Amino acid sequence: MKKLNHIIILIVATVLMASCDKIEGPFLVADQSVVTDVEFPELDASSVYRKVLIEEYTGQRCNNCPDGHRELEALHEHYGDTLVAIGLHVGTFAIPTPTFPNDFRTEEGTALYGDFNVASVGTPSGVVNRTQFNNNYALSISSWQQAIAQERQKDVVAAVQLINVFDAATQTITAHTKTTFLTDYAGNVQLALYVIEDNIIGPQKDGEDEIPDYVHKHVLRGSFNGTYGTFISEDGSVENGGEYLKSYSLDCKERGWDLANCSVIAILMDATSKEVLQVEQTKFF
Amino acid sequence: MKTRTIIIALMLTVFAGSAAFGQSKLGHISGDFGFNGMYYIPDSIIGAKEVKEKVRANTWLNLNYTNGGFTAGVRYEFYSFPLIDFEDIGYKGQGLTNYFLDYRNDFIQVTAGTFYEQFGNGFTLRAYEDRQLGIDNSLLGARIRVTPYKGITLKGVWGIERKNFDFEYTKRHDYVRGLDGEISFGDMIKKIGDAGVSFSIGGSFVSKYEKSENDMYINYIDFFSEMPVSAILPADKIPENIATWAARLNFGYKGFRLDGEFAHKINDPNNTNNYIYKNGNAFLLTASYSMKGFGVEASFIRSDNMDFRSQRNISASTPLLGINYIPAVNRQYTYALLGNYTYASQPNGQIGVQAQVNYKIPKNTKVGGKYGIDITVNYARFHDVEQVLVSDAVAHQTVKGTEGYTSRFFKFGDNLLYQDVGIDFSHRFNNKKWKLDLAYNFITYNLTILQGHPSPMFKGHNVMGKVSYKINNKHALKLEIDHLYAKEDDGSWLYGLLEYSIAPNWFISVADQWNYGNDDKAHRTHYYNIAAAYVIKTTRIALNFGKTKEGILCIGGVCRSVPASYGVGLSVTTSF
Repeated sequence: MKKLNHIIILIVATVLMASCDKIEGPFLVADQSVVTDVEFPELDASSVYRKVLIEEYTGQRCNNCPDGHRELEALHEHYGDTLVAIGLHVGTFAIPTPTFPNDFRTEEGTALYGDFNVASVGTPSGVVNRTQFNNNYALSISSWQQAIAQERQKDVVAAVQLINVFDAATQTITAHTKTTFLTDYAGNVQLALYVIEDNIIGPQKDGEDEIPDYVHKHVLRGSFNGTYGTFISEDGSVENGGEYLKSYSLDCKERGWDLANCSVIAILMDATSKEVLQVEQTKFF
Repeated sequence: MKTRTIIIALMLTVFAGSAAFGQSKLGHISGDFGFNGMYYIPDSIIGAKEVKEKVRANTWLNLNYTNGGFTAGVRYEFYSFPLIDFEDIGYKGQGLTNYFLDYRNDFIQVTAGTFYEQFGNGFTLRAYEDRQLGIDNSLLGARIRVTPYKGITLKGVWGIERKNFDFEYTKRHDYVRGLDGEISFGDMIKKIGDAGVSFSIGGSFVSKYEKSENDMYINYIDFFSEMPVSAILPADKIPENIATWAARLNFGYKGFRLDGEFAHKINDPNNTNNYIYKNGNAFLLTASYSMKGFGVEASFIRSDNMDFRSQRNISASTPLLGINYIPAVNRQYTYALLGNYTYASQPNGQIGVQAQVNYKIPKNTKVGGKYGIDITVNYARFHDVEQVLVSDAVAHQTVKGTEGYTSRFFKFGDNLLYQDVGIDFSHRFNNKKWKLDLAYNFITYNLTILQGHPSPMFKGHNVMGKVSYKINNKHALKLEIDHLYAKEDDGSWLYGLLEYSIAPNWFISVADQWNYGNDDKAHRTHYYNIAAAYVIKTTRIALNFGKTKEGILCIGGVCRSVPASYGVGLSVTTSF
């Protein structure tokens, strides 16, 4: 009986301790957004189409991952720039070793890997527009095309215009965006800006082989404004015809990126469901 | 959703099975039904808006099945086209709003489904229903109550709070869990109980979880450049688990009683406190003494930053999703004209006292007459709490995203919220056939803070006289006259009510509230009301016609606004 009491006390104490988050100040962080000082070309609403985002979860030591890379390349050929891809190196197979010294992992990639329960499928897998298909976010290679085709059928909600300005002197990239809503949208909306780098040469497992000079494509490198970005208006609410400007700068010094191969990806998403409403990609310069 | 379907299906089976047996050994069914409808007539003078559907109504049915220690219950509410007061507070929709299975014996009670619960005074948790106010913050989940030893009660709750008719519980990112324990020494130790001492201590712990996934934008003024700065409250700086705890004590010996409770809440930036990180606390102490013909009671209350909701973005102007409850300790009056100046409890900032003395001039004395005279003197005064802004808040010209302010515990704030000085007499005479009540109150009421519309401090003198005359065993007559004299707000009012009752079936009344002192002559309105009610067994049917003024309705310190209305009302309630 005494033992039981101790166990109960222990459980209760644990529950109590775990149920409060004491937050230490300072609480406020200055918003890093900068002034939008570029002219956007006039938008022709009739020419706007809904682009689709595929987030490919992969790893350099994952034997089957190159199958995903090849499938993605084929899809890209088919859909052209209407399909935007991001490669997220996550999980055990992304951990660097002496033979695979590159660390392509990012804070954002790790967060998304957890939030979308990608581990349930593992690598390689893909999340299309952060939308569920058959109750799953993470899809195995064979389901990618169907999901993409389905997403392309959805109505165009908004257009995102993206202009990058690179300051060579300070090695700073500034991404300027203008989001125009073309319909009513009831939810709150966030915009996230990511950096990807193409054509990184490095080792990769491919089946039984180890390829020392594999070309890694669209590798996620980081973000301007966090994993899920920031509201595009004061509280994220939008109106039909509304235009929302948002610009962020990122210091690229000493990051080891080949800036000529880098792009900015702007992801417009629902703040609650995280469903991607529009996506745009533009090279640094 | 799935769980809900399963529970409901299970209960319907139970009902269907037991209905066949009626009131046999297989348990019995009880419940109640209510219909409360109104035909609305627009009136531009009092501000009664046109209601497109003309007729609106609230309808509900409670059904409970009991068999030994086992109870199952459901409630269906049809509020799709509710009375306009309820529409204003978002209480609109229809569906099974309450469904539960409950089993209890001497040792344990378990509940699954929706349930109501209160810990202590409610400082940490009070899940309750008030149909008139349109509050139902029942929890959907599970509850366990255990009595491991005589005098010891332990409770645990776990659930999602009801949010009007939003049943998408699976999409909710917030829930509440809590523990409560109480030891009653009078029950546990026979010697203490036998000595006439009641003594108990208790403690509770309640924590809410709400996902935090979005950064918040806050604009403030930079102290040095004096320029507006756009800042972010990052999602990881917004607490997801917020806890409150409370400790309480109750002591009674002969005519003396002492009840106290203290509660503490950790950082909880939310819409009601302007997103500050300061801890909250609440303290209530009540002492009373009573003997034959004399009683005295005094309370002290302080609550600071204790508004505790399931969702951080809910506005303070609605009682929606409140987890806890800070009571209003002032005396509650039923006088018609004071209704609009009822003190609303301020969980985020109030400190005050309430004291009352009752004395009975003995019967069979010169002054007291044959039946004596009851006299009650009352005094209440509440202020806001002291708030000394922290340096960040001063610099930013906003408290948002800072510790907010500091406040000395026993220091009264500069703003008076409410004061009541009152005395009343009650006397029966002529073989108890006649009863006379007289009351005087001087009310000071801060309209700016308590009702949110900037106005000078309201000061009103209210005099009430009521005569009840029992004509015979069946027939009775009641006349009430109130006069509220005031210069502020709508000025002075006069009220009269005449009620005639024929026991046990009929009640008929005529009443009028006349705003004769309104500065605007066009608004010197008569708010008349003619009502009749018929009661038979457990059924009550009531019909009324008249005008209701725009104002507030408060029950136990919790208030909601009431829109102006004019029309015919019908209410039918029955229980079985």
